[in-house]
Amino acid sequence: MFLQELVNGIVVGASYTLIALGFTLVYGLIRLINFAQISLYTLGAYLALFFTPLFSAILPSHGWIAFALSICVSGLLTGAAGVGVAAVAWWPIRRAPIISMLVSSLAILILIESLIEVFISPLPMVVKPPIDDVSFSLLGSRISSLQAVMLAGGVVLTLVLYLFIRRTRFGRAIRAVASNPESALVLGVSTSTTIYAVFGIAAALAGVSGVLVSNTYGVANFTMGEIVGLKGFTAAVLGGMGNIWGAVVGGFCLGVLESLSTFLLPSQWTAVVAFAVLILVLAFRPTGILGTRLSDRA
Amino acid sequence: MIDSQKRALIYVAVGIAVAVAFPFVIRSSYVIDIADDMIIWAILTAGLNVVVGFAGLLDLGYIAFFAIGGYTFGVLGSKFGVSMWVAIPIAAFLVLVASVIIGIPTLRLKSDYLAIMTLGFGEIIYLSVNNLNSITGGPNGLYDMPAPRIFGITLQQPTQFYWFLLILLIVTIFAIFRLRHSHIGRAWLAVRQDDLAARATGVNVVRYKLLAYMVGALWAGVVGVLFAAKQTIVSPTSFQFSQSFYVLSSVIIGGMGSIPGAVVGGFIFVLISESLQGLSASYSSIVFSLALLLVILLRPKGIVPAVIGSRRLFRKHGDGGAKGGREFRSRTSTPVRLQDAGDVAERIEREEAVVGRRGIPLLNVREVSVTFGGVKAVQAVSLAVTPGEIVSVIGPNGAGKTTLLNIVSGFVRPGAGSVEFSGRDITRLRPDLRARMGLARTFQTPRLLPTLSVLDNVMQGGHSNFAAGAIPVVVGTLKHRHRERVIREEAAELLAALGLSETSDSVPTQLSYGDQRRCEVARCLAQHPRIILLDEPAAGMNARETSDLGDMLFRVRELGVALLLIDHDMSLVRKVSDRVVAMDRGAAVVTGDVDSVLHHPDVVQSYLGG
Repeated sequence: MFLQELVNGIVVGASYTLIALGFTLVYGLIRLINFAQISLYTLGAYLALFFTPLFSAILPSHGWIAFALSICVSGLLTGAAGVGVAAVAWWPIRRAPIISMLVSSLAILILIESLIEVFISPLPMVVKPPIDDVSFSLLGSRISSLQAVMLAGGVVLTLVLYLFIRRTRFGRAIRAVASNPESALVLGVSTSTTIYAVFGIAAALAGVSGVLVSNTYGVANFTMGEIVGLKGFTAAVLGGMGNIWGAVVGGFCLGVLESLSTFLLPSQWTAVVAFAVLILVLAFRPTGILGTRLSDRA
Repeated sequence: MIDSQKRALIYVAVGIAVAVAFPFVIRSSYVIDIADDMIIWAILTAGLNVVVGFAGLLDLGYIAFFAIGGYTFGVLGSKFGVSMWVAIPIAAFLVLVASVIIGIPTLRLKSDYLAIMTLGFGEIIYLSVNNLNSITGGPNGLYDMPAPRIFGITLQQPTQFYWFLLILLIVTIFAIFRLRHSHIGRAWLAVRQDDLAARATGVNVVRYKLLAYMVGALWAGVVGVLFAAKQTIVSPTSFQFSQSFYVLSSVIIGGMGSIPGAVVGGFIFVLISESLQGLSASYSSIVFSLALLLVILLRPKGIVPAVIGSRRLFRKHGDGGAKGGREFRSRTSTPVRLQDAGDVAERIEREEAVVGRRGIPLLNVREVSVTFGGVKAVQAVSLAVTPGEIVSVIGPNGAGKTTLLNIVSGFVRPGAGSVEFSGRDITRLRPDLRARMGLARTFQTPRLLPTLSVLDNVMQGGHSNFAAGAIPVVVGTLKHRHRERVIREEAAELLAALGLSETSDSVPTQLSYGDQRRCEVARCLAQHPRIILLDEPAAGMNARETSDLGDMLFRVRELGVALLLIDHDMSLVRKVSDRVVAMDRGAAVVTGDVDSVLHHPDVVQSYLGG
């Protein structure tokens, strides 16, 4: 039982990690809590609602490939939407006080959610995964194949992101802009391109997370991002805002903590656990567990 | 200025007249009901405007206080038959407690963390009222509250509530107006725009943020009770996150920090959402998020931009701005007058007695050191300034002069050593408390508040001469109003003395660089300082201006104010300094009188000759 909750917590933690990574990347670069991130998670889930049946129809006997394609396409389109968010919530008002950026990213969050509500459906929608959800045993507990995909997705994307930032030229540009935008500009790094790209990457991570979560739980809802977004943010702060490994540590810690809290509290109160963690971290260690910035440690 | 003041009064008079005539002209209770909602929403917006517009705190869970107010009456009224009049003070108390509990851990942090914390708080309150079925009635809400009675009349009709809500709106606007145009309002704007400048002028940043947060919460809580009474039902849907978002949109669309803007923004919100009533509720979300984006991108100051100067409701004849203060002026011999604020003068005398008797320097810096990431920025530097002395610190760029100044003013805590001021160890004292002790400073690039007039910027310097809390300000006690008038007159005199009278109604960004520096010095003087720390005051000035600056510093010194000056301009240093400290690579190399230091071989080599 305990072990089962632990495994569930780790799986949920993977989704928090993906959202936390998005928050931390943008925050590390321009010190903005990008609320729009939350709606991009939802957008990813709804895009997959369209693409999964499409690819399944094209490739009827290859559920896994259809699923993978749907994840990739939804993720890419969400990434593009993220670039669009940057074009509205960051670029035109980049010299305005941070509060303007926060409010406009919030406006985008509400806009995307209500567009989904009005033009798709105000009711929760059933998500039918294209693969058979077999569960198998792992270390004495059960894990479903969709949960495994979610966990694998989280781990693989985190590693890819790490290698991208650490090993590629573009990743070096991101680190340079994070540590000092002026000198990065002097050294020939295009600050704006870098920031646009990071918005896109962050959005794609959130989108993929939305696809995975909605498939695992079989449901999508236009407000699905709100509580998860708060938790993803908590994870980022818990680990250390602006720090990639912080997002990973924070995401998995929060997932496990929440899962284990179900022994003590009814499940509709798990959001309270995340909130309590957030208050405690901010009150006692606002720099988080790892507490270094993107520039210092990728 | 006076014209705009008159115009504002006319608007207010017309607004009140229209509001009073409204229910007599319009008989439809449906329309009056909408008007009630407009007023409720305008009050909410005005309350959040204090938090977001004045203090710059992004509160995304504002509706939670509204919910606490509504459910206080809901629970007490439906379960115990408590009347609305009793529920109002209880709700006010509860929201104040809640705002302190949420505020204290978060307001120390950066404002963006506050946003997410308040978002979480709003969600928690919503989850609680939705899930605690036995207390809050869960999703169905509560509806058995007794209808409020007053003078034997039961308030039930929208028109009856209308009068009551209208009075509350007028009280709200009046109270918030008073707060905004007082030292509290100036402190809020300082906190919002420049944290460093706020602290350097003696503003306890956390305290003022908390005050703004509490004021906002109070209004939401009180109007929440009225809302519940008017609706005769409270249910969770009125308190969702989207509602917090709508109040925030109303603030920004109306104009951040603008009181009429808040009313306009609130009215517009209700009108738009009523006109979209036939469609699904989420259409108003779409319209409002788009409107919000458009306003932020195209008209960031909102429909009714905030005013820049301080205003009083009724300007008394003859005490306006720079021309006023007749009797004060004739009494003073020096153009810059500091002796008026009684308790400050007394404090200075008391300290002078201590300092004089024991022969302790006014400022005594002992062996302070500080290291930034392995770089020894300041190493074991000592220096002393006696009352009325002008001490200059010179040295090449990177010698640690500004860091030293930051240590003295409290913005950098030294790793070793101590700082004493007026015989008291202030090494661990916060910058705002140092400012209140009489330690003023300027910054390398002037840090004036861009949305306050020049006069208000100087008045903001007088912050530490105020002790009044929010209640005396709102009530407008004679003592507080006298204090405010004295500060205003003194600020006008300071501006006159520094040749800035004509600019007193401009915003600082319209001033030349030299004038901005002078304005900053005026702000320092308004603090009634014992010492002023000047960080490169002559930078960017021409020879003539620099020479005038020197004369001004002498005049300041005549008032008994000591000066600690950092500058590269040797003509200024030579002209004004009693003593000079030469720094190089974090250490004080030579200390002595002007000539001996400037001709010292080490100084010539490291600095002048280099």
